[in-house]
Amino acid sequence: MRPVVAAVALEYRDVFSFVKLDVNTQPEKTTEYNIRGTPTYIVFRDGEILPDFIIGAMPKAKLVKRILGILEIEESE
Amino acid sequence: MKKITFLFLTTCLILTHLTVGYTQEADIETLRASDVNADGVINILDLTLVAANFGTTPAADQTPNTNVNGDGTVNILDLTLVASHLGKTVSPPVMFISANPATGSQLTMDDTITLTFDNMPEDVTVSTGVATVTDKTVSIMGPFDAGALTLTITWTDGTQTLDYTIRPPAAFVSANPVANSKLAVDDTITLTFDNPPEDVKASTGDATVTDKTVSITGPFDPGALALTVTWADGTQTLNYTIRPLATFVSANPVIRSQIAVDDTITLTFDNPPDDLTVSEGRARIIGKRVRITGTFDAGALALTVTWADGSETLTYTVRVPDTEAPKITSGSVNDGDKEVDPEALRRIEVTFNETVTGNMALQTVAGADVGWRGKVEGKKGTLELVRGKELDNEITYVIAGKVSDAAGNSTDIRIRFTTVSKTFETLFEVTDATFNSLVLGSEVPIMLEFIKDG
Repeated sequence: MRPVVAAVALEYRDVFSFVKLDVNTQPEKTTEYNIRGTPTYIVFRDGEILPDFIIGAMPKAKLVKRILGILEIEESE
Repeated sequence: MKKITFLFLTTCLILTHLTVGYTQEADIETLRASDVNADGVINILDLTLVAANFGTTPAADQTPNTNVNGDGTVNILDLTLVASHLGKTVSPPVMFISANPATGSQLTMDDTITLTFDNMPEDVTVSTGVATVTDKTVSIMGPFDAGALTLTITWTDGTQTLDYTIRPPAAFVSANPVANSKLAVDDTITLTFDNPPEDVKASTGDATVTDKTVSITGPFDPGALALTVTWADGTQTLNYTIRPLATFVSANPVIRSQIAVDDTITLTFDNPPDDLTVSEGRARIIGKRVRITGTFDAGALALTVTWADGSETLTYTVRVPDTEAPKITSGSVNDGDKEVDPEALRRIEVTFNETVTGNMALQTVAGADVGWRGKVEGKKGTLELVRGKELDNEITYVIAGKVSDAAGNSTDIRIRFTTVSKTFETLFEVTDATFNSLVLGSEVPIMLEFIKDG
């Protein structure tokens, strides 16, 4: 786990949970979700996949903004 | 004329005859009066002079004076007087020539006055002192009474009055500075006598006499001084050590700078200063340097330094004492932080509220040094990661050290932080098999990260 992901997972552990799936060892879900590169992030809520994948590594702030945007959560300053 | 002369000479011969066999002890005055031409012998020439002036009335001060008996008229009595001493020799009057010391001068009570005559005087008497006649000199010895002296010397042929001032002898009483003390090259040595000294001379320096004191002024040569003072009544040798003048050269800290209440000010002179005092603090002389230590009062300081050769006022501003220890104002990690990402932590900074010196290290709780490079400089302390010394997960580390400010106030550093648990990342790894339960069955939103070799 890269530091950015670890930090986000730690900081927002009360909002969402981070899980990871290795594309080399778990080809079934990789194929199912048509994953073309890593890292790729998909957000699930209540068993449903939310639109917009997050593709590629990015700074922590941007990653957080994208995730919260998908979850439609506004973070207070 | 020839007839008159013959008559006189005849009369003289008769008188001579009449006085033959008549001898009398004449006093010296009578004999000198009879030696009318003052050639030392009473003879026919004197008799002729009287005869030539017979019947006249010469003035008393006429020279030669033929009125031998002084009765006013030259008559037979004068002829008879001269005739009665014919053939006698007459010594001239002894005359006073000089006195040493000269009249009008000043003498001591024990001085000797020497009078000189043209011949040896007889029957010498003096009004004061004891007279000793030696040939043509008369020595008059005291002691004389101090004050005005009118000395009258009388001898057979005359009287002489001499005036002197008799002064008491001057004896050395004291010296200021006292002998064997240390003086500056331009100091003045003052000697005190019991009476005003005369003819004062000093082996070194210039001597000035004022009543009973003698001031001897330099400059004197640095080193040992044996000062010999000689005066009419004695001599005195005084030993001193002459020190060179001390001149202020510099001060450290420099004048007008800021100092602490307990600072030490060091003054430098070109020569060791003597008798140094300071208006504030305590002074200690070490050769050419003077160390002045506080405690000084906070605020403006006018420090006056006075020494034997001068004075200097040094101004400083004394800072209000700093008694507060340095404080940590911020840091990369704070005391009590938990779940610190060890991978993100490659440099730790701790910022203080003032400039400090000291040391800082990254340690384990047990006190073992982790091996990071610590440095304290300015207002910051830093810890730099050293390759191979990366932090582990789920470990409590301690930033330990001690820093001090310029005033010596110190602060112990102890910042504890704990790195994040490593189980955090492994807990949420899913597989195709667990996907449904962990992801789709989750009650909280799930962020699924597809990674390679994760």
